Amino acid sequence: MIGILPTLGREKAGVGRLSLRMALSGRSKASKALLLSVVALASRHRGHNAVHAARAKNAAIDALISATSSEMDHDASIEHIATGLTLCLVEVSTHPEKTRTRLTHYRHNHRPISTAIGLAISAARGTSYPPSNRKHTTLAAMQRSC
Amino acid sequence: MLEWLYYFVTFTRFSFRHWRTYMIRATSQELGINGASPHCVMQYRIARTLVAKNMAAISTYVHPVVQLLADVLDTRLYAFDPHYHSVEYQQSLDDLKVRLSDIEVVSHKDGEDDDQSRCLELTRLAGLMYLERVSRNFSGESTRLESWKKDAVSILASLNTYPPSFAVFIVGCETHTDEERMVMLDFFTRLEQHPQLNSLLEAKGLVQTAWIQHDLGAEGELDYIHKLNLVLSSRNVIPSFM
Repeated sequence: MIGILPTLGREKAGVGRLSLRMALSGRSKASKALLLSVVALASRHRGHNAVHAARAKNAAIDALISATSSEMDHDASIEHIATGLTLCLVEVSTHPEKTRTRLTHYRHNHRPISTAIGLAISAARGTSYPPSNRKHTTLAAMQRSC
Repeated sequence: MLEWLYYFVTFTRFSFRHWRTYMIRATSQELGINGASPHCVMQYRIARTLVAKNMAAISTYVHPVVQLLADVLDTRLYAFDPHYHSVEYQQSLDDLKVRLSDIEVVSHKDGEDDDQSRCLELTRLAGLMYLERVSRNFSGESTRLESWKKDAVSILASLNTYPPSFAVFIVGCETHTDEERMVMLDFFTRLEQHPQLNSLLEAKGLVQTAWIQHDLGAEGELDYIHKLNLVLSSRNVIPSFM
């Protein structure tokens, strides 16, 4: 699975190896969410057991929701982003005809993944990301309900 | 990881530039595509919320080809835009083309890295084609486009890894002869033997839809952007081009 993650401009397996390192570190709730999302992607990719893949995906989403917090440090925000992107791939890796309703349901009042993206970008800029109290949909909640 | 995020956002923007836009409303209604359905509106609302808006801060982490492609995908889509014909804007398109033409894609000796360099080169050529076709709103034939297509098809003929679907799709839209399309189909067949995400199958389906659209359309009936919009809009879920 490491070598098939879509990327461009770097060594193909670089993102996969980095994701696995973060996932296996177990250093934060976000890293545990990442591990579950990687399991979901691997399971979906192997395609032998859709129920197992869905279970891993839902567990990853639960973990991602519980990991989401304005207290996340920079490392955790990066792990949060990696989890979100990996969950995107879980959805994309399903045949398009089977995912027609994947974006049709969502839930309110969860902190959005864009918060984590903002944290990560702020970390890159060395500035602080303003704490967000906006109410957005989350990718996690959206995917969970599909 | 920020590079990966930038990559996702760049290609997601491409999908949203052309999927069920206002410009194809008349045609899409004839085809029974309901762009105002709750299903579509929901996908747009989610995208507006989730896609990061200011990616400039992390652009230093990405390869210059991806950075330039993001700029190309940020250009104005339609000629009736008030600023479209301004000297400054046209000059910015010229600058973008020069930068994309002049950029060096580093080649490595190692086999896998060499494939990565060729993926970058293919994406660069696709970016140039898109810039000419969409940003310049050009639907005809030109020696420059022919040359880019020839180079791109030659890369696909021997590529053993999967490049971004965006590049495959844009090049595929330019292939009109049997020989060129055979190269594309051979490429898909060859890659299907390897472990891949389903984005390969999705890109293959979209390229084939573009071929049908091209072959059935009368000469000059629809401009390039309109065709592109229609092909992407033929899918109920926003296509992924990562």
